[in-house]
Amino acid sequence: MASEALKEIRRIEAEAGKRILEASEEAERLEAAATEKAVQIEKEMVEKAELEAKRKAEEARKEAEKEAERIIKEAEKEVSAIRRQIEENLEEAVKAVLNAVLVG
Amino acid sequence: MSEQVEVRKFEETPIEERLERIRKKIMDDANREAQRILEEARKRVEKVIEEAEKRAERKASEILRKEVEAAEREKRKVIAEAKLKARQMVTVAKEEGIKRVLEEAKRRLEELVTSKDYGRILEKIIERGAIAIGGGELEVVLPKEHANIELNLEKIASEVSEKTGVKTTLEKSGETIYATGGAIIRRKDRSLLINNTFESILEREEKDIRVKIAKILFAS
Repeated sequence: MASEALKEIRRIEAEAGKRILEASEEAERLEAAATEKAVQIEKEMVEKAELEAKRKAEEARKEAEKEAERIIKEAEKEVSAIRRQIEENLEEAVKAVLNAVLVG
Repeated sequence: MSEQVEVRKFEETPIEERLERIRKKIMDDANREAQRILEEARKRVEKVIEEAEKRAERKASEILRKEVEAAEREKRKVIAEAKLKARQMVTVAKEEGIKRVLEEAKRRLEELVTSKDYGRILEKIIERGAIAIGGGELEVVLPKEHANIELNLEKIASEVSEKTGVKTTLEKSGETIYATGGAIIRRKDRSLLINNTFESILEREEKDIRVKIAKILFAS
């Protein structure tokens, strides 16, 4: 009878050991999944940031192009105005040069 | 209840019941241990995720900061280049205007030397040079093409004498020069010389002339 009881206790202990082993395995699985998830989280956030950065860079590039275009257009207007001034004042300026050479 | 009483009671209990109590105790302990293991694992999982999120946030914000800075630098560069180009466009346009005036003036000076009025103008240029030199015994060196232009040098000399207070004589030099117009006026002993050829005046006065042109052309 005592031997039967001992056997039963060994069986129960084995069952308990199995339970603990299962828990340890489950813990390992959880941690492995977490490590994988952590890698995934990092990858996704970095990708998202890269996309956002690309979008902002493109935005800045467009703004710069627009501003550069505006500056050049302004300069073109100024050049046209200068050319008009040259036409209007050419004669007076030529006379001033002639005066400087001939009269001093 | 004392421990001895407990033991006695246990020994009096039937074997099946005793085994059941042992089984329950072992399994309860095992379950608690399993629970503890899982609980700790869950805590480690939470920490791993939390740390990963923080690390990812740092990385993301660093990427964003660097890229935005680079984009801003590029933007400033593009705008600076456009401003420089704009300034160059304006400068080139103004320079073209000044150059055009100078070219037109040179063209008219070339025309002027063939006109009938040129003799009188040349006399004034000579007089101006002679006064600047301070009078005295002077000679005039003319371009080869103008060597035969009739000039009233005596009259000029008299004017110069009067204006400088120095008795002045003027005569044409046998030498000639290459120039569009104007003349070189020099002392006969060659100790002093005024180069009043058109080219020389334009070169000498270039800076002032350019300023005058710019003021007239672009004043408004």
